[in-house]
Amino acid sequence: MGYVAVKGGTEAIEASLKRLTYERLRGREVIEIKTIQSTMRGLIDQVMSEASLYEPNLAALAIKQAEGSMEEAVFLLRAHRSTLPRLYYSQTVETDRMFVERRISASFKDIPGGQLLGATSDYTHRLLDFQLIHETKEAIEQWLTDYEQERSPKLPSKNLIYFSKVVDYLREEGLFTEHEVDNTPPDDITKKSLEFPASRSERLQTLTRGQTGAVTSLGYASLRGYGQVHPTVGEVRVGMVPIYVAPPNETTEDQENDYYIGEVKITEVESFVPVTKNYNQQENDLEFEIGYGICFGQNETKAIAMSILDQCLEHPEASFPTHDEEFVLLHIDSVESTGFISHLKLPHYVTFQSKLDSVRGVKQEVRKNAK
Amino acid sequence: MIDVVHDMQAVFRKLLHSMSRPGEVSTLKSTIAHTDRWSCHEATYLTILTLFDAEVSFHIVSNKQKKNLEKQIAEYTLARNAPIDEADFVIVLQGTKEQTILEAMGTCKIGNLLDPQHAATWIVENERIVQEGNLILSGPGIQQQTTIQLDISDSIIQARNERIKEFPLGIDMILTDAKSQVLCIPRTTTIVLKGGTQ
Amino acid sequence: MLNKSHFAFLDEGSKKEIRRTILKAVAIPGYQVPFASREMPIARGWGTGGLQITLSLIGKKDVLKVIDQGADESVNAVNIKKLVQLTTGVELTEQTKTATLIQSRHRIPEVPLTDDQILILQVPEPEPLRAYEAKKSVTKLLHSEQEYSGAWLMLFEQIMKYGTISTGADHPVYVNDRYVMAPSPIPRFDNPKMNQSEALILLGAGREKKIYAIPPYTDVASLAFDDYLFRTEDFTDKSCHLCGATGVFLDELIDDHTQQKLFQCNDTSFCMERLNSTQKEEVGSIDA
Repeated sequence: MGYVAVKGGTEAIEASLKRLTYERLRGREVIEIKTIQSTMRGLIDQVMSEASLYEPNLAALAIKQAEGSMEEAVFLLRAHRSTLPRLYYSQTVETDRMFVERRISASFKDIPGGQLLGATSDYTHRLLDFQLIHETKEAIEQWLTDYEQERSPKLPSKNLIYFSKVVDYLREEGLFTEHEVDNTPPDDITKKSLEFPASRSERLQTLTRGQTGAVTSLGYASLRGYGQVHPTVGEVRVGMVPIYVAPPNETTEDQENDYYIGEVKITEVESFVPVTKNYNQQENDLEFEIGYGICFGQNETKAIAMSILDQCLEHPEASFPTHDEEFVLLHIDSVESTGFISHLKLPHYVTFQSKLDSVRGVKQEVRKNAK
Repeated sequence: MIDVVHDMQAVFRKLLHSMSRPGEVSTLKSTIAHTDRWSCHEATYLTILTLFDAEVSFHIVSNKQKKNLEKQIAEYTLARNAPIDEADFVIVLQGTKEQTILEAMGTCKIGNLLDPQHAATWIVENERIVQEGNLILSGPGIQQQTTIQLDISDSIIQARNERIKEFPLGIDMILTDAKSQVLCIPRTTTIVLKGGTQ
Repeated sequence: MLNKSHFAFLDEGSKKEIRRTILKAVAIPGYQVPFASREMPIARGWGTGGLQITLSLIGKKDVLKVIDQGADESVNAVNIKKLVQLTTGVELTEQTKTATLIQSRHRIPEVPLTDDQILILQVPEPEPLRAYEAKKSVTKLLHSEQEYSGAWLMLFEQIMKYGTISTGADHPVYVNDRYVMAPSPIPRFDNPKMNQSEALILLGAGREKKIYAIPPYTDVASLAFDDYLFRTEDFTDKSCHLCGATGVFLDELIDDHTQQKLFQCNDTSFCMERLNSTQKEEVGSIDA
């Protein structure tokens, strides 16, 4: 018989995993993936956005497995994303081709095409609805039938209309600088690590997968005064956009050959920010610039906050942390921040022993000098 | 051909072994019988299949017709063919004239001080590489010194030495031969010709 | 949807990128090469950099050892081993000398490593200059210009304040006379093991997305002054209360019953082997 290592770690982990499963199952209730998918829209959208993977089914599974913990669900989906080969880039998505479900402008009372309120909790009274405790399937069916009947005569004509962008009208007036279309392929932050100064494509990618709370906080900080961006929301639009990929090894630019691979729901925000433009050193002119926000699913707060931060980072000269791209971009990722904060739970006794040794060394030195 | 999971892993480990121990020869093998024809050494295409993908670019240095190989590499790995001054990998086929290699050597990427990794990695074909010979190697990865023998001319070695003068800038080389052997010379290695100077 | 797991978890494209990065890291010793860094099934900050290196290196014939704080049985080490084994089926070991790959957090094993082994260190903060410069773009510039006066000044200030260098673990090193490098939070005791090491040492920071390396037989010097020398943790007159080892890194424990301070090998497999070999000597080869 020799000495054998105690399998303390292995056993502790096994027991802990069992306990975790017990906590998930002890209520003896099964939540169906489809239940999560059809009732937890906000949660699913948020998980997909922070995970940067659009797959409502898997997002629902992640939420179930994570027992509703946001950081865990995002983490699960991100880790899954790592195992998927990424073979193609989609064609540019034109958001004025969006199948709009909701579109509002805070800048103009009337916008061509009109304001379309769509589904929003903005005008709900935040009172707990105790009737939901006893909601039944029958009641849901009844409500839906009534709703369909009420709606059917009002259905719009079959002619599709596209809502053009609010900013287009202002561009015509010369209030926005016309920019050349920049078709440089975007840098992919999942294939190349972020280096500074970052390109705008890298900044936007980092912001759009940022943790909702973190992006909101920093956008809010800028708005309150720790930043120089005070936007007016030109337009918020929510809806489905089609995604196309070009056939591989195809050199022609003929869009007719593109494959339609599905549609994703997105929230897109264009904020209008007044900026002073300096011409010929002397003349100052006031113009608008656009802060851009976009994210998977319906998450308007995040998209608006992102549009603020996008503008902030376009102006690194301002001496606020919200205008510092390293400060903003390196601290908003859910998986990175939660991972590093939680790593403090790991044992650090070697490092502590080492520090202890040097503190003792210092004390000795002090005593020696005091004599 | 190559088993994309396990052969590539084995090839990479050999390359890593040789890159971290400049001058040490490794032999690359694939477990799957090849059905495709490659107009380069087996060690060359195994290295290519192991390291190339859509994220990298390459340039072939040769005096012969190279279109087919370019096309084949692009099809197998999705890597992009690029001009010599942009290529991440430079492939020198056996039998290429000294002057052609020297020109490529003078214009390839060597990185910059902020990003020294943005330098070309050279895959250079030899008829035969031999451990022990007229080239004395020293530097990180080598205990004191080691010697090797290559088919490359002295002036190419000298041109290489010119390009690594400003470390961390420089080029890293993977040398392959007809017997599926590889040997690496990273930019940290000092090469001296026996009985001569650097 | 079924669980399908690819050999060594990472898709082949990700491995290729990590492999290319590792080759660059070896060619530029001590320089932090950026890489994309995939999200792993374990948390960022829990060894994902080391894990990505391990998974890009590992083959069916490898024998893997994972340690955390010197211990094979530490929960995090167990967890990492479990993931690698689940996706590769490789053999695991606790014996340093039988391992081909050793992934470690915060220690270099006591048993000297050999040239057919690769040590993979997990790195929480790869930037040795971060303590005095928060910006990545600035530290990158400092490295490019070999401008390390800040690092020296930090040590100098400690001497001015405390009369001695007061660094704990992760004491910065100079690699190949070119780059100042964070050796990862290994104790100062382990720094000299990096110098002219027989084994290749790879360091991975997953969250900070950097890979760097020390090739074998490379000069690695701990930063210090001629008149204030680099000092490792001091275990003079102390020995392991289990195996009696001296000259190794010891953990300090308080005995539950006697309230006395005890010392014990931090490297648990090293201690175990010593215990077994002394037992062998004592009882002969009866049941060895």
